[in-house]
Amino acid sequence: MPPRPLHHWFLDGARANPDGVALRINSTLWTYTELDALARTWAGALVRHGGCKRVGVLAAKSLESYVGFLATLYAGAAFVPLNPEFPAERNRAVLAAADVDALIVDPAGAAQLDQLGDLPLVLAGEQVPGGVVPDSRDAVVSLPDGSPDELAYILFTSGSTGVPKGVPIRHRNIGAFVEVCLGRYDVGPADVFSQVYELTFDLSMFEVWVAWASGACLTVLNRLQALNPLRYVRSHGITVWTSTPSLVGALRTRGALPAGSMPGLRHTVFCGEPLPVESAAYWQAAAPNAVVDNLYGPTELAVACTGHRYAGATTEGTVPIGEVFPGMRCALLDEDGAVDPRVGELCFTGPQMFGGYLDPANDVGKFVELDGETWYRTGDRARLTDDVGLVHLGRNDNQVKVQGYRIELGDIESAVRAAGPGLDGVAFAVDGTLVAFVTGPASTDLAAVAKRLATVLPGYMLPKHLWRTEPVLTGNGKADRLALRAEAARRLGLSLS
Amino acid sequence: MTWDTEFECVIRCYLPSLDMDAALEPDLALPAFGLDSIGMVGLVASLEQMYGIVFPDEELVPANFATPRAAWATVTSLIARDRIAG
Repeated sequence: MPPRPLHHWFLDGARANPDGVALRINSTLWTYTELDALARTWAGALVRHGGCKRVGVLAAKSLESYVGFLATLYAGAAFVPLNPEFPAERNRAVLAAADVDALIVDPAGAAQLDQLGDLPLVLAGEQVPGGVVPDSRDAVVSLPDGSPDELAYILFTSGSTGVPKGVPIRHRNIGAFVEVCLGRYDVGPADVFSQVYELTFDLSMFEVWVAWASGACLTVLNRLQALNPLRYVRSHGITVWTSTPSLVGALRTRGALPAGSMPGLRHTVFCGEPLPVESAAYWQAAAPNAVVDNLYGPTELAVACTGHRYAGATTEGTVPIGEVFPGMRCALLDEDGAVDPRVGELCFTGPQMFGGYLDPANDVGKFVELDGETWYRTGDRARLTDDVGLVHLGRNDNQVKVQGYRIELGDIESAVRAAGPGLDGVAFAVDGTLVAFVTGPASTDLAAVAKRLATVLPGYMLPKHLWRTEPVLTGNGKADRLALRAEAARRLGLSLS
Repeated sequence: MTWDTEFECVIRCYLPSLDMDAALEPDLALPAFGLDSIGMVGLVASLEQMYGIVFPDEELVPANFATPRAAWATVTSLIARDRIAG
């Protein structure tokens, strides 16, 4: 299929299921026809204002969020999701970096307006000072059919340094991803997708656009509801669940998902972090009829570009990231930048690859020329195996040197996961000292874990300290490495600069 | 603000960082004393079981579990609602 604008995927769903529910937030439902009409009205306000190329959407997973995305695309512009729970200072920096010329807000977003500086146009569903309420008489009739090389959205990744980097994604990039997903999952109008992720996190783009492309219902869960899959799979009839592996680890520690408790689930998509085999097995037991899929990919490659279907534990440690998506190509680079057939830094090229960061200064060192083509360097390391495809080895910057030895912290973390049922680990080198936090059942015997590690890891890779902890998660549901690292330094009596 | 001892007990179960001797003040910031989002899920289940209530989706928001006062107000309003609904 030739590349097409992102909103055409929504229109496909609307044609397949016009009176079906496109969006559910708690007990309120909107059909495809209703959502389409709202988006045309809001797009009309953007068009009337004129010249909008980039539109910020500052809303807390409310109706304005989803209408805002569609309306922006209907107006021929690119959307920039913002989270009202983030500090105003960060949101102001993102708005400036993205050079937005309009902002769509809900009441939570409106509360931040006075701290965001001057904005050319503010749209809101209800009157906010200086804001415009969209009028259905302005509704757009014909929708843009722009070039697939125009931008669909811009996301900002946190980056380990804490300075957000703008990642512009074109219609061509996200469209290629949606098309792969429609081939990968047999989903249709009868399905109900969970919308778990924050909208500033690109895995939400899977939930939103694959749900709508298939004419399914998108069921929005807030960050408290999203931690309770059992309740919502049952009460809302969710058939497609998405989350980070850390969530499953946390639920497993509490025994929160009895075997066979979610028989209605058809698909589960894990992404965003290494998936421990134990977590996959635990989830599969609770959802015996679900296809459990482990995806891998950075925001720069439009959500995900490799995947592995879990089919029972064949390996210890971590579920493979598997095969490269159709249309994408993968290469592994060694430390000298030469292609290695087996192990190295994951690099990709293909239709899902973005065209470079918003700030070109961030492009330095992120691309490589191979075979006359440009490839994106992910900074992740992987090994290619004959039987299960790619196996993730952790971040490049997860490689540390301790007493002269080059150590993959990911290898220590895998060994912790393999040391006992329900265990997960996060390892650090703090000022030359290896330490690891272990999450798992309250009965976890750290001495036994240490003993087990000593049988599989060389002495120089053994953590000096093993600490048990409750899972510490970021807002995106991943293990909060920054917080754990600071905690490690505190326990070692060091101050991190 | 008064609540029953069962409520006090269950809330304390989810506050690993609150000393046994320290008072449970109505406006204590529960997240600061160890009630994380996953803990809130467990707290909801405990409160539902204890009081025979069901939190509707609209009430399952972190703000309702930010302080003992907010949580107790939510619980009592749900008990009252069920009583009226009979």
